[in-house]
Amino acid sequence: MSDDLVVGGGGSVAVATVTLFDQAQRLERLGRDLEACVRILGAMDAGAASRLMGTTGARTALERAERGIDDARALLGLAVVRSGHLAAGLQLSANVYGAGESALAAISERLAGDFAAGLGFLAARWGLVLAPGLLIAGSRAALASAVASTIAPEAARRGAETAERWIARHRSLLSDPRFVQFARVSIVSVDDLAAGAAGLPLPVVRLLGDDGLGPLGLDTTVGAVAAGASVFGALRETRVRTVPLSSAPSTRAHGFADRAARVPRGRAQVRIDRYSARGRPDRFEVYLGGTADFSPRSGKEPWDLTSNISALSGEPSGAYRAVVDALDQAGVGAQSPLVVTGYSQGGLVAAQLAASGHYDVRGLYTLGAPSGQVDVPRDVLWVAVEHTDDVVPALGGTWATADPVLVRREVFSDRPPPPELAVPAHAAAHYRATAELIDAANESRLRDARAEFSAVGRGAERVESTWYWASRVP
Amino acid sequence: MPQGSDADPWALSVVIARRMLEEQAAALAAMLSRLDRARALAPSGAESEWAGPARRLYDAALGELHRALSSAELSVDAALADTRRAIESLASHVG
Repeated sequence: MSDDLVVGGGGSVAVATVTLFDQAQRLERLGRDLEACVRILGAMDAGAASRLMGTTGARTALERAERGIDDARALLGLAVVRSGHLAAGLQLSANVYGAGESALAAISERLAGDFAAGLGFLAARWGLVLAPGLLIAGSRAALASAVASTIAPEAARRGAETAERWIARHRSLLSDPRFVQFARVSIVSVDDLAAGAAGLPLPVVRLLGDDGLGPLGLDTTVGAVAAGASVFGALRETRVRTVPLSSAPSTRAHGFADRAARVPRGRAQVRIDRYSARGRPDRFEVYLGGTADFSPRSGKEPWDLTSNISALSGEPSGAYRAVVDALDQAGVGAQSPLVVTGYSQGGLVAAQLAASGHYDVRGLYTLGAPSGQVDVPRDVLWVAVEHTDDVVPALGGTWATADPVLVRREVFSDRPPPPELAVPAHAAAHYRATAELIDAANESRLRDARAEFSAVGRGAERVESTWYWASRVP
Repeated sequence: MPQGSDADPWALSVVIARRMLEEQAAALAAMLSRLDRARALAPSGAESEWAGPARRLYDAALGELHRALSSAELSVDAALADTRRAIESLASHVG
C-alpha cells in the first residue's frame, strides 16, 4: 500500500508527491539557515586577536583558525546555492508535471469526445443495417440457452458459473488506475456519443459540448437516462422526510482523519455538529455518508442509486433535499459558517451544497466523491481526496471548473486488490487511512486548509452533535 | 581583568586577545551545533517511486550538498580546535 500522496490544484499548477513538496520546503529552510551561518561566520574577525600585542606565540594557530573560518564560509555559501537550486528544481518539476498533466487531460478529453461522437455516428448507422440480423441472432441464442437449460441444466449452470468466474477474475480491471482514468474521460464523452448517434456533425457536437456553449454535457445525458428509466419505474425521485435520531455533547473536529471518522456509518446519514460560544453566532460542521442502497428502484433509502443519478444530472436528489432539511432543522442559515465533509455520494451532495450559494461554506472536504463536474466556486476552500484505483470518483467525470486541492493516492500499488469486493479502493476505511496520511503531510496547501477548517470551530465553548435519519416518502 | 592605570599593557593585551578568542571559540562551538541541526534538514533522498535520469541527478546533487556541509563542518571544527590551541598558548605565555 502506497503511503505517498500526490497533491495538486488549489490555485497552483504544481503537482507532486507530498514527499517531494516536503523535501523542497526542507531545502528552502536549509538554505535560509545556512545563509544565517554564512553571515555569522562573516562577522567573525578571526585576525583581530593576532593584531594585538603578545600573541606572536599563538599566531600559527590563529592563522589556521582564520583560514578554517574562511573555508567554512565559502563551503556554506556553496551549500546555500546548491540547496536553492535543488528546491527550485523540485518546484519547477512539480509545475512542469502539473502543467503537462493538465494539458494531457484536456487533449484526452477532446480526443475522447471526438472519438465518441464518431463512434456514436457509426454505431447508429451500423445499427440500422445490422439490427435485423442481430435481432435474429439474439433470439436464436436465447432459444438455444433456454433449450440447453431444459435438456442439460448442469451444462447451463456450469456456463453461468464460468461467466461469473470470468467477471470475478477480471474485476481487478475496475481497480486499475489506467482504467479509472479511461472511465473518467469516457464518462464526459457520453454526451458526444449521443450527439454523434443523432447524426450531428463534429463541429456542432463540439459547439454544443462542455467546452462549447454547453447545453450538452454529462448532466444532460445522465438526466436523459434518468428520465428514460423513470418510464419503467426505475430511478424515480420521491419526497423525503428527515428526522433527528439522537444528540450528544461532542468535541471540536481536529484534522482530516478526525473529520473522516465522523462521517455517519450507521442508520443516520447526516451528522451536524453545532459549535456554540456566548456572544457569537453558532457555527456548524456537517458530515454526510455514502450510498447505502444500489437498487435502481427507489425504496425507503434516499442515499440510493436514484439520488446518485439525480445528483449527477444536476437535479436536487432525495439525499440533497434531506440534507437541506436537516440543515434547516439544525438552524443553519445563509450566514452560518459551515464546514461540509462527505464520503462518496455524501461528498457529491456536499459539493452541491457548496455550489448552491445558499450557505456560507468555509470548507469543503470530500472523500471518493464523483463531484468533478460540480461548479463549486473557486473561493470555497475544497480538499478533494481520491484514490487513483477507485473508479467511483471517476464516474463524476473530469474536473470541470472547480479547482480543489486534490489529494490522490493509489491504495493497491504494491499488491493486488482483494477479489471479493467490486471496488475495494472505495472502502471508507481506506479513505480514513488516507486522511491520516494527509494529517501527517508537511505540504503547505494541506497545512493551510487544515488551519482554515479548524478556524470555523475556534473558540467554541460547547459542541453538540445531532444525527439525522432521512427516508423516502412514496 | 587588571584594573587601574598601572596595568601592564602587554599583559592587558594578552587578556583581551584571550577574551576575544574565547568568544570566538564559543561562537564556533555554537556554529557546529547549528550546522548539525541544519544537516538534519537536508534530505537524504526521496523515498518514492520516482525513478529515471532526473531522480539520479537529484540524488547526485543531494550527495554534493551533503559533502559541502560535511566539509564546512570539518572546517569549523578545525577552526575551533585552532582557536582553543591559541587560547592555551596565550595562557601559557601569561603564566
